[in-house]
Amino acid sequence: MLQVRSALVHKALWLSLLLAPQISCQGADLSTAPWLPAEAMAMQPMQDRPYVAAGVEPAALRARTWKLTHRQYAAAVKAFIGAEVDTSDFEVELDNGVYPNMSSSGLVRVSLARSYYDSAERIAAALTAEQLSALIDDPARPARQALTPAQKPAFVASAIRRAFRRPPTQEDLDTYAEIFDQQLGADGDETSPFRAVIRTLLSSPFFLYRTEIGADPAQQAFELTDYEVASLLSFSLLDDPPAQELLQAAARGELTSQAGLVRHVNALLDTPEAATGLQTFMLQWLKLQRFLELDKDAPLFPEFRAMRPAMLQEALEYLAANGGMTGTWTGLLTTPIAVAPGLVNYYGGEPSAQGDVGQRLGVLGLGAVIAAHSRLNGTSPTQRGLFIRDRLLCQQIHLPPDTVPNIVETLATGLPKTTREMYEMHAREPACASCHARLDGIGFSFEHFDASGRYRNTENGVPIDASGELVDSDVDGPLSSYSDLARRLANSAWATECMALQAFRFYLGQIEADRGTPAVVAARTALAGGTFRALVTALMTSASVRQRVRQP
Amino acid sequence: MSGAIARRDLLKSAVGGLLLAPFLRQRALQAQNAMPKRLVLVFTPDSHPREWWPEVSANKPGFTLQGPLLDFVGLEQHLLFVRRVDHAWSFDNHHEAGVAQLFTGQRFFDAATHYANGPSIDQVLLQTTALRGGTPIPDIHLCAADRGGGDKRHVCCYSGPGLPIVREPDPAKAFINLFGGFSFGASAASNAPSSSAQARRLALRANTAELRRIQAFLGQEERARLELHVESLRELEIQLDASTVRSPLASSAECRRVDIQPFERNDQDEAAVRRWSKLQVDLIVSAFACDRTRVAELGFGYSGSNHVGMLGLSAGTGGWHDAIAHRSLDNVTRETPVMLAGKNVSASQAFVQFDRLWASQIAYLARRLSQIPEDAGSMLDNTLIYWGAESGTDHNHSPRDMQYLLIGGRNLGFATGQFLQPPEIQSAHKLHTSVLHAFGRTEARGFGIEPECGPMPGLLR
Repeated sequence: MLQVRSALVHKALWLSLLLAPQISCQGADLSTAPWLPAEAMAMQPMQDRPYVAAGVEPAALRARTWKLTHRQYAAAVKAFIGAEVDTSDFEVELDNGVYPNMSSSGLVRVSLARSYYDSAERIAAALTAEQLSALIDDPARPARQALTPAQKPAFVASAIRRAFRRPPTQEDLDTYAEIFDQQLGADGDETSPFRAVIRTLLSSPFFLYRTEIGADPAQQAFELTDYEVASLLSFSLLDDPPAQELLQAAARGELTSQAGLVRHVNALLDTPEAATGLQTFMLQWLKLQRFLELDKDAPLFPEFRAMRPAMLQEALEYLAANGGMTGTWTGLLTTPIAVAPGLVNYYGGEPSAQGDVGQRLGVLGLGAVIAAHSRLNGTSPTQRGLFIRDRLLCQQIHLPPDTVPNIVETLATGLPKTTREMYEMHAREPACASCHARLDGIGFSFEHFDASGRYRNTENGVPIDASGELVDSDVDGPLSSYSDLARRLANSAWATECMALQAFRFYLGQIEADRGTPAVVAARTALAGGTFRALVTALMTSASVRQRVRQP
Repeated sequence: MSGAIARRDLLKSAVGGLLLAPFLRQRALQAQNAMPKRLVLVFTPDSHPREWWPEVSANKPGFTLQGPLLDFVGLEQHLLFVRRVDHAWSFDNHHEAGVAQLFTGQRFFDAATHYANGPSIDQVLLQTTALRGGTPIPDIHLCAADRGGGDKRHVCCYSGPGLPIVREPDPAKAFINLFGGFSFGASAASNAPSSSAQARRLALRANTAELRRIQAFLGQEERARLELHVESLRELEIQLDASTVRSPLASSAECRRVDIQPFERNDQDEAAVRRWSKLQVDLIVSAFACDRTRVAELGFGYSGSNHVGMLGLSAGTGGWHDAIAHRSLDNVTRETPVMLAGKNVSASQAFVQFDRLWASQIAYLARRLSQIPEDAGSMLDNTLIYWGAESGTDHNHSPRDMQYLLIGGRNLGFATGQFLQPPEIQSAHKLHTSVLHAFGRTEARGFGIEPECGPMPGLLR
């Protein structure tokens, strides 16, 4: 009952937002309540509260397919037949703006389908007879044995097992045996039937997607098969298809027991690929995945373009050290940054007592993060505040309809000397004040950093005032600089919960159905007392990994 | 050409719509049975300045084009302006709401992606009319001055709820998509399918059966997503068949290869943008002339795109959206001086130049189509170029005073050469409904979230 009411309230709220002819800055209810029980939270008029209590929502995700990314496709081809494949001429991958690889983003339209077939034909044509022969999984079979039609059953079964990352069904065997037969003698090449099987497998949906559909379509609520769990774990954690060891574990039925799942998730998290995967999540969470394409007003920031690689590298190294498996939420937000020598002069600033430059501290002090959430030609406390609300507090703030002049227009008057003075005009305009108090108060605390990530003590000759205020959170209070904000967020249960939610979206590839998803609650609890590894472990050993519901 | 239409005429048209329906249907059928009809949806970013609207004078018939549209001079008889058109709903600053509903007439699909909750008009027409004809490719979606990628601000076309159609930024890839397997200049292709084509056909059919197996395990939403894959395989099979059949229309002299030399796809450099745009336009024209497809989309930039420094916009002013379009609405700030290629101009003058860059590319498309004879007229007479932007006039960040321009389509029944200024505000859904009627969907009573809105009075002859 509670679940139904919660969902209905949310749907009604969302509809009311959409139906409103115009949502003004004043009209957007941005109030955030203190930590409340789930029932009370469901009645609050906003969607931006953190998750609250375990067990409120069902754990099961929907039955689905999840298309491989281009990178995963290339890795799967490599794992299948050892061939390298270039996907650079494939269609640009769909990025829905939340995370690039969500299960709902995988659409195969004509252009991509054609690329799959062209690629499959090229790969199959390039295979030698020896390579084809080596695909037969039979230890008793002599090496370099010539291919003959008599080997059809063994070849077909082995090739399907490799391509589909699971044992073949009888239907699979029949399908591909028929493909084989139809190419027999077609062109006088005795390898043609074998190539036809490979070609068709490489463009099969069972190869191109991870399927999370279970074994029996009649079951509405069901558990994934062991092999489906193996693919989910491997692609989500490592960005690679499941290795032989994991598939063997699946064959032994180890992935559908909780103990087995925990054991294998831990084994996967020990690999360097899992660390890379976690770093990819961190980059995408911070919206840095396209940082090397970020531009600034070049005459204002002439060095920025050349500095982008070093800034990104700094971010990657910081995330590896503080946002990796052994990293903690507090450490990620508050560990001082050791600025790379190549960036010291660019960033500028006074060395602090800790030896860092420009008082840089925590992931929010990374030049790349600061530059990515600034305007082309200025800092924008509003944009920086929006980033914190969206990605660190998971609060939706709606933009104004611009019925009042945009703040940038006041530049024309020449009155404000600093960005801060300009943005403080928001506070004097009632139509703006209600929203911007929640945004600019955060953004002002970053004012020591310009739009390109450099440190500054003055702007237009006026000393920087980086004081601000954090409101509508569980760690409200005044801020003397962004480092105060970082320390407050490090102690925020709401921010910890938000991080768990972001990881849920990335690793499980789905927008949460509603608040209280148990996987998110478990991940929050794990992160609050532990490391990012604990967070990922909690997510990937949760019931959301195994349980699915078939929607109507 | 006429100016504002009278209220009585408007009422007469609205009330008479039902009575005239049979005649409209007949006219539409006649149009459909003649030359092939074509549709191009065009998106440009940031709306247009007030100068985009033509001037009308009591002393002079018709209208006079102003700054942004000066490249259309000579094509006035092909243009159809409609003022006082509003979008049906808004959200935030209308950027994302405007793009989502621009050609779909739908709300958001969900709160996370802000994709549209239904198909765009091109897809509706492809699904429900004979617009495609026998062409091998249903539609092509291209862009210039944009990287593509498919988030909510880069997409206008949808095949269904939450199913965006990504635009192709690379002319070389677009060429392959359009002309793969096609021989320019060949009079007829071999009727004997090659063994490789046979092998691909086998694979397509086996893979389609596999998709059907998976779909049996999925709910409706997931099935729909996979259905796109099924349709893609069907299209590939159609294209295999089409490689042995050549449209008689492909003998046109305009059916020729587009020379695509490598170039930098730089969205901040005017020359690069012009070259990029021209290639994409040339591809569309060639695809139409070769009858490879009859439906295209062409997007320039994306919603809120900035194009820093383009046209010599000076340093420190930010990009075109932030520094120019944003200043357009207010009568004081629009006079803000900015440096453009070393010259001091007002923000409003700069906005006109920015808007003209995109408009000139669309004018080039229209002009090229107008130069291809077809039947008693030109290809432009049989093609509707349907141009929209995401926000109202002067970048007002609202759904009010939207700027759609209909170009061409005289043989589809569009009353071109007019600037319609109805006395009352009209819903954009009426525009879309009239477009459905023009392409033969005369039974349509509305579009998108306004299924009973009726057509736009005066739009069709």
